Amino acid sequence: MDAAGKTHATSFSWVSASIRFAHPIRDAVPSWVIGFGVLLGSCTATRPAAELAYFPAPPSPARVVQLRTFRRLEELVPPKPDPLSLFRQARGSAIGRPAGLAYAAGHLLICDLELACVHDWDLETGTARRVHDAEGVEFLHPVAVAVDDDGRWYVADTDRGEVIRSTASGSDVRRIKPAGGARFRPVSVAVHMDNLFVADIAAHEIQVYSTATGDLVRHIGGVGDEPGKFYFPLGVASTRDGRLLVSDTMNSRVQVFDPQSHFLRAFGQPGNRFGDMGKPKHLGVSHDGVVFVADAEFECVHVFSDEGQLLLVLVGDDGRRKGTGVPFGIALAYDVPAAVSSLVPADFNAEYFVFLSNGAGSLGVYAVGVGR
Amino acid sequence: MRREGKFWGVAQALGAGLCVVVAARADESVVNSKHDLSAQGPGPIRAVQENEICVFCHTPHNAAPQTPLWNRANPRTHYRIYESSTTEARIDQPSGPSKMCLSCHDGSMALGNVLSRPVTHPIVMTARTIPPGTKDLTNDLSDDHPIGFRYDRALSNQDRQLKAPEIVSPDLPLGAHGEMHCTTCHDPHNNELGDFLRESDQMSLICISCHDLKGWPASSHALSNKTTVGRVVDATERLKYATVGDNGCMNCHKVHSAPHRERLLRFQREEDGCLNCHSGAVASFNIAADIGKRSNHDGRRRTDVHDPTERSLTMRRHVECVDCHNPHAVEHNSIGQVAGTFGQVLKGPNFFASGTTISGRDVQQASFLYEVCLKCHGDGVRQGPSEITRQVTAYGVRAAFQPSNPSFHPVAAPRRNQDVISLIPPLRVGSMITCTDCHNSDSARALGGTGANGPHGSINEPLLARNYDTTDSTTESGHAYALCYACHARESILNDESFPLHRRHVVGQRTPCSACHDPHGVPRGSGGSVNHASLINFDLSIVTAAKTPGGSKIEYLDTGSFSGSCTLACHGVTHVNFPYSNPRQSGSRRISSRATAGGRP
Amino acid sequence: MMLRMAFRIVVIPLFIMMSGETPKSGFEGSKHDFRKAEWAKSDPCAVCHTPVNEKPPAMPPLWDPKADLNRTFGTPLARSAGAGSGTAVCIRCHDGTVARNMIGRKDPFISREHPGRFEAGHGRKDHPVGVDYPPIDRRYRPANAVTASGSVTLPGGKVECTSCHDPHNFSGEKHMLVMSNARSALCLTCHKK
Repeated sequence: MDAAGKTHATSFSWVSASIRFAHPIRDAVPSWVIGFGVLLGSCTATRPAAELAYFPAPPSPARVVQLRTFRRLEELVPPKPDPLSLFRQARGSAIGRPAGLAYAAGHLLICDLELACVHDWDLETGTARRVHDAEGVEFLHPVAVAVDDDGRWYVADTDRGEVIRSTASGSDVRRIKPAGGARFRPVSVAVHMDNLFVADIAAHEIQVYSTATGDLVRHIGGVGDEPGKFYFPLGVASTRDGRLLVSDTMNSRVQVFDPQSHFLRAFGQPGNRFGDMGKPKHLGVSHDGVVFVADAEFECVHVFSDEGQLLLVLVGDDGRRKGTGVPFGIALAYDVPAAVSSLVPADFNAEYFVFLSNGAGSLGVYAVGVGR
Repeated sequence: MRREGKFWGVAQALGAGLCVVVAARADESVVNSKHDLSAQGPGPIRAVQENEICVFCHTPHNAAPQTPLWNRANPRTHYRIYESSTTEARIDQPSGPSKMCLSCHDGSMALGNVLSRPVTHPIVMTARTIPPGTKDLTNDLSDDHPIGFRYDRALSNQDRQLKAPEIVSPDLPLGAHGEMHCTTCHDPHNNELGDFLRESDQMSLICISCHDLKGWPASSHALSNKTTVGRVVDATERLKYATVGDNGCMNCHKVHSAPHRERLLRFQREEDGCLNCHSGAVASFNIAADIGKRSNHDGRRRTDVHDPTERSLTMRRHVECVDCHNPHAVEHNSIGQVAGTFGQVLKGPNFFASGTTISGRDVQQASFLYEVCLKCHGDGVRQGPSEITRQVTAYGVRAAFQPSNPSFHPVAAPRRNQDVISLIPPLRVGSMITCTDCHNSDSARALGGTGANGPHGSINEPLLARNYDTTDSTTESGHAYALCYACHARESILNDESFPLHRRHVVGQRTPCSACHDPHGVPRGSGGSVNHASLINFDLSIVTAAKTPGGSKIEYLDTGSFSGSCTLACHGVTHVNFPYSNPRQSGSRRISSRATAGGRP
Repeated sequence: MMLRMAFRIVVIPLFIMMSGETPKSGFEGSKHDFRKAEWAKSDPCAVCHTPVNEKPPAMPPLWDPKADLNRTFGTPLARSAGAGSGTAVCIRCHDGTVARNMIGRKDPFISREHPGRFEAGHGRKDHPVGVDYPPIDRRYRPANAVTASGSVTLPGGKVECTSCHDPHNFSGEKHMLVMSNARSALCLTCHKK
């Protein structure tokens, strides 16, 4: 535990220092009591218990626990003490208006519409960096990002009308867009093997590109409200076995396609009850087929099975869950670093984590599993 | 523009009109001010069709990331910034709010070029950029009041003529780090006081919010209620207020686009700032007439030589009004010059002027009037034109007036010689005089004339108040040596009350006073007090050495009260150790009784 | 020939009248009039207003059997609705995806054509929303004077998108403003300049 480890060191040094010099309190109270008191104080200080919220509410067994909301990386991962930090200009990791999220190998990528950049937060070391362009191609409206198995980034830039592919360090840049110069406004990306799925709201369709060549392979969808057609598809996600999920925003539903892009099913409909959807934006799928849908209208996160069965709705009693706000981006994370997994209460067995971005400027992290 | 239905149009106009009326008095609002650039704006520079007011600078969406939702791009100009030898501040390029003002007021960017309109379709204005004139600062800010420096405690400690930033009025906001910006003095929305100033400039109140000039509040320039009619140099220029006191700093300074960059003067030639008014019309006395006389301190001869930071030993030869006067601190001299009583103390017109002390140290504030003169005349920057070669040469009058000299006119210290019995009361032994008792304008008020006091110019060389002949064979008269007779009674001299042979030499042989006497003082040279008492320092063009058995010698020996002996050759006569003594003065009879305990100097 | 005349005299003017050049009734033909949109299908109002589902669901969520089946989601949209709804409902679409972006970085051609270097960040700024109206400040008019004007609202005492913009565009002003901004009257309703 980073923060506590650090406090350990300082508290020890404080105790040892106090032994050296005469001090009335120190002389009255044994030094090991003082040291322990300091340790206790620091331990409880690192974890604010008030942020935890269990879904479903107790006494039902909790399946999802909301851990934290945060605006800066330092709130999530306290930075390591850096002796050079005095000389190095500290770069804030504050986010403006987060949009799409992606998680890969300990890095959380956050698209920022206000600052026109992609934040790359290293959750292990606690360092953050901002990426404003890739090899000179400046991000104008980076709304979504996805990471493939090789660690390459795919940034959907709506105003540019391109998906910009680059490595994490910003090299080997390829700008992916349909040939022929048709109007192309990508709002979401997902990668599976060598397929890149891009949601385009100019033509209301999902375009599938080959990650190797960057050529368009096929289209899915088009304007309409029939099964297989979309009205403003704002989010795409792919399952481990290659199925594609599309959040069909203006139709208030999620559609599922098989790896050959044939329509499988749709679930959700307009309404204001359980099982209805408002305006689903981004979505994420776990390895066992649990779908998390960020709903901007209901200001909540729907949890469905990939068969369409409503499992849970993450929303507060008053309809406003702190840190949910205007939900936009979702990213699922397995194998999170200790900084995040340590937030989970000890009696909760977390299988994976969900990051949610709130268009009003904060991020939330949930743990999903079985507990209590 | 959409065609409106009649009802809605009227309602809209009413609503808009109501809102404007409710908004604010026209004066303190940007609506209908000079910054109202909409088509309904009052000024000559305005849009042709645009009827929104705020859009020229602000826009609610899509604005530049500067604080007030800025709707313009920043100029990328590099500006020439203000420089001056007397600035302690570190002045940088303008930043932040100043750049926002300069985005229009430097004449480089089109006025209708706003971020909320495509660059191909800017707002059409009556003038594309700000036209050249007083409002166009250009990219040369060296002739404008400096901005872009930090006005902090460090600065006010260094520059004692600035108030501490804590007591500067909060109505004049500084930047986040105490920087001075355009917006410190100007509020771009509020033109109630004119020029969009935040505080009134009547009596230069806004200037003295920060500038704390010594002597200003009581100075005659600040308090004068003389009207500015009748100015000589810029007769047609419109000044904001009618009286000198109301204009305050603006009589001489121009805050923006100043003709003389350094120190922001309104006139290229420094003396024009003074002569503008002091030429007989606005101010009481006509200095311009004085400095046009034969012998003068004429500032018009040189321009751009004077610098307030100059040192007396290294400065180049020049004279300007500000060498002797501090225009921020001058006060009327109502008492006038009274020789011998107040002469040595600095008076109103020379308050807070700089000078050089008798020991040669430059001081920012002279305590005595002679110190002001010593600044230039002390150590030899300026030697007189009619340099008389004497036994002992004084390099500069500072050497002549040293209190340790054998003899001297009592300018820097009172004289101790008891034998000066010719002094006209109220002068007496122990009195002190000052330079202007002799060097003054011939028409000076203090001497009975009607002109200004002070050595501005005179018909008598070298700038003497009265006539003083120094050539040999001058017929004696009251006029010939009027300068000396002003203090030394002519009757006493010619009646031989002191030197018993005065009449013989001055009237009989027609020798001038200057043949034997050195008017300033005799510096330490050969002989000391024995040889050079009573200002004896022979003029070698009239008096020559005598041939004695011991060699050529020219010498005066003071052998006691009113007695001495001379060895010299003059007018064909040779004196060798010729003694004299005054029988009337032998004995202990003294005219002046309150002498200090006796003894020769 | 008569038919052609009739066409010219009757039908064309009819077309012109119906073509949307009707500023008075601001909503029809405005950009929020989704009846014309291809994708708005049967319920054009549902784009912004949550449609009401009368029937409660048959089953609760699988993982939450104790959930209240009568629970409703979404918020009814009224102009005086609680704080936040005046902005959140706009930002849902106006974030650059569905509709023009109102938060942060904007149209590329503007920043390229106006090459003045911005001193802070890369993004653009917008009028603050979701913030409390300043209580007593000499730069702003008092809140009750603002709301008394009838056009500008301060839902929940905060400045929201709907303070200045009317999504239904009833007034017919450009930019869907609640009142005309001629002589910057809308700006000067709150800002005392």
